[in-house]
Amino acid sequence: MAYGARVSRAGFNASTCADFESAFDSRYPNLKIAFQGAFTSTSSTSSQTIVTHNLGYAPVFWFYIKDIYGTNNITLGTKGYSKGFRINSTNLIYDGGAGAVLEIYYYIFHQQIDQNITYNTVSNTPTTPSGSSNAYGIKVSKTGFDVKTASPKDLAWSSEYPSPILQKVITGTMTTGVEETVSHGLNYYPQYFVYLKNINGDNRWQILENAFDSYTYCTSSDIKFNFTGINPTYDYGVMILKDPVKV
Amino acid sequence: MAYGIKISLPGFDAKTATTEQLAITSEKSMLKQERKGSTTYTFSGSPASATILTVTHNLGYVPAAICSWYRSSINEGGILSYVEFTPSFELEEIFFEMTTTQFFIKYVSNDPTPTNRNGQVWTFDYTIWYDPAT
Repeated sequence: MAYGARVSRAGFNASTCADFESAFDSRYPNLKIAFQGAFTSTSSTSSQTIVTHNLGYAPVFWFYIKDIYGTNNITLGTKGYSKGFRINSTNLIYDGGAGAVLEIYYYIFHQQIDQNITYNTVSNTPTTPSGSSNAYGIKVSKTGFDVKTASPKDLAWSSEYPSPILQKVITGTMTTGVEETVSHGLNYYPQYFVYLKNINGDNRWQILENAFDSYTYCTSSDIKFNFTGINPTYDYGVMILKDPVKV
Repeated sequence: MAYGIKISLPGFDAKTATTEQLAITSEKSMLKQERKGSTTYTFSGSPASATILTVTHNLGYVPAAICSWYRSSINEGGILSYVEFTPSFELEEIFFEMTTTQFFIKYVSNDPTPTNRNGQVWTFDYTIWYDPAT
């Protein structure tokens, strides 16, 4: 017999809400943080280890970076910078390609890039929140914090503050310069990241950025991407979240 | 004594499952949404730059965030940043960035004759998390 648990986001009915309106559901996982940290590179052009994660698989990651070529504010590392930051089953590195001091902040998650997996879909149909003041929920504090008084950032998780939910990871091999299409099956526009392997000949994975040689976008049914490199083919992994960009 | 909770995915025993086989576990943190919002922006003329959206969060630290774009006219969307090389081979970008008090969506073109986006309608959907980026 199967057991399980479901907690809805505030205002939604856990019995009827869409998957992306749930806070937690034992039929599909939330994105769990494995490592989070900061790293400042040297101006050396040598490869530098950012963090040794030792997860035994290449995990999903993204990072934020100080925009030293622009406003000095913090931005997502998906433009130009992302090429130099790559991961494998052991560590996340910066390849030194910029030859500059870069300030980055990384998140590594407990989700494998290079393994096909599709989690359960219960419902993709949005519902209307009731707006009820009878809000119930669950929250767990980080170690060392009292769950009754902890600020939101000191909670491990809480049904009051929704966390990203995984839909699937799709892997495959694309041909250089040919647009690849993968189906996400959600019937809305989801959040996602595309990772490509071995662009720089080191068998590591990196975020596919929008640049002169690459692009990615999604439709309500598919995710499309392209990269033109020197190899005839590249392995890819596409992590798709249930969290919608647009329903 | 440490207390906690973990719930496994279907087919796995919560007592022996790996972290990847758990739906949730109190041993691992998750990003926690501080706010989510969207805005629609219509380009007027061919600006060299524009601040599309400013959101004041006042968290006192730079939060983790994500932002996506969507254009109904072509039924396409994706994660920001959006980068294009213009007909003059200059860089044109739409991106988001954060400070300890604010979140911005911005447009910048380095092209003296920027792409004509007059009338283009873009929708942006953003999520700011309580979790620090820095």
